[in-house]
Amino acid sequence: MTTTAVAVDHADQHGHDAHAHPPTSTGVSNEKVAMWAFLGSECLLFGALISTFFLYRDRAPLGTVKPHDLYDIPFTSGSSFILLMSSLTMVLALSAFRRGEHRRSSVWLATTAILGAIFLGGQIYEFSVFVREGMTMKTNPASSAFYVLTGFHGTHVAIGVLMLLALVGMIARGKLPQAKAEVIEIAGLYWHFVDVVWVVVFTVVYLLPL
Amino acid sequence: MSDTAEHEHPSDKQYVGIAAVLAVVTAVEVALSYVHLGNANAPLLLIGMVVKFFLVASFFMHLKFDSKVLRRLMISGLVLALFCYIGALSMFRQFDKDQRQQIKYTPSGIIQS
Repeated sequence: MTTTAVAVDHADQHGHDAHAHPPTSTGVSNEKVAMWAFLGSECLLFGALISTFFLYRDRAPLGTVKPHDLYDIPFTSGSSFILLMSSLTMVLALSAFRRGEHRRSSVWLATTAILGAIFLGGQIYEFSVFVREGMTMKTNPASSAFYVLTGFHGTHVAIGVLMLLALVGMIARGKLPQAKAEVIEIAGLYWHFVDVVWVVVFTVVYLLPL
Repeated sequence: MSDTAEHEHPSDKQYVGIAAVLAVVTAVEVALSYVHLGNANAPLLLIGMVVKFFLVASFFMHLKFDSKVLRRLMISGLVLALFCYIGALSMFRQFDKDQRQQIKYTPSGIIQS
């Protein structure tokens, strides 16, 4: 029996995917460790962007519009709520897949992707309103820092949506067997991280007073 | 307990309960941003943010139930980022304070010293 076969057999016996990988020195699959290491490094990327925003958030020549003058808190709160709930649907997708309910898992994954797309639509709408009000990337240091931070986050959400749609496609074509539930878990880790970053961004960028 | 020990993950009902708590904390945060409590606003908002962060990381990302190795990876990234940027921000603020006394922003956007 090959190593993979042993691992899959082991996973089937325990009804859980946690050990469905070749043995590693950490006891955790290399893919999962790699995703966590990547997320750790992403903390540094977003830390830099948030710090830059903090530094420049009140830097604007007189007569130019600052992000704080244009925020629509009720609208952004709605978007934040949608993204938070997408973390719930993501975790329900993983839970359903682990129980062998692939169809239900697909529905939850698609719901997560739709919620992510709604959040992205909200961000595009917000940006377009800001530009109409005269705040572009080049208006002042505060606006540049705002667009770079929220734009980078939006890009991460867009990549996450594509990842989720790819998973839905894989399940539909039967290319994601039960023993590979960890693939969904790893995509979920990325998605939850994107959500957790927005938790920080929403508070420090939108809610904290100047 | 070994570094690789894992526990049972929460049930779907528990996940929904955690999402409800997250929604309530977000609502409280938004309400707080409209109420002026003086210097208390910022710390209260930050506490709400930290609570949400740890709820998502612990339960949805399963850090509470997964191997300790993963917890250490995430915590080391976080701590490193926090120290690095608190240090950088304090340094910039200090230089900025000295600089702002010499710089004047004009309506045309040109910075004159």
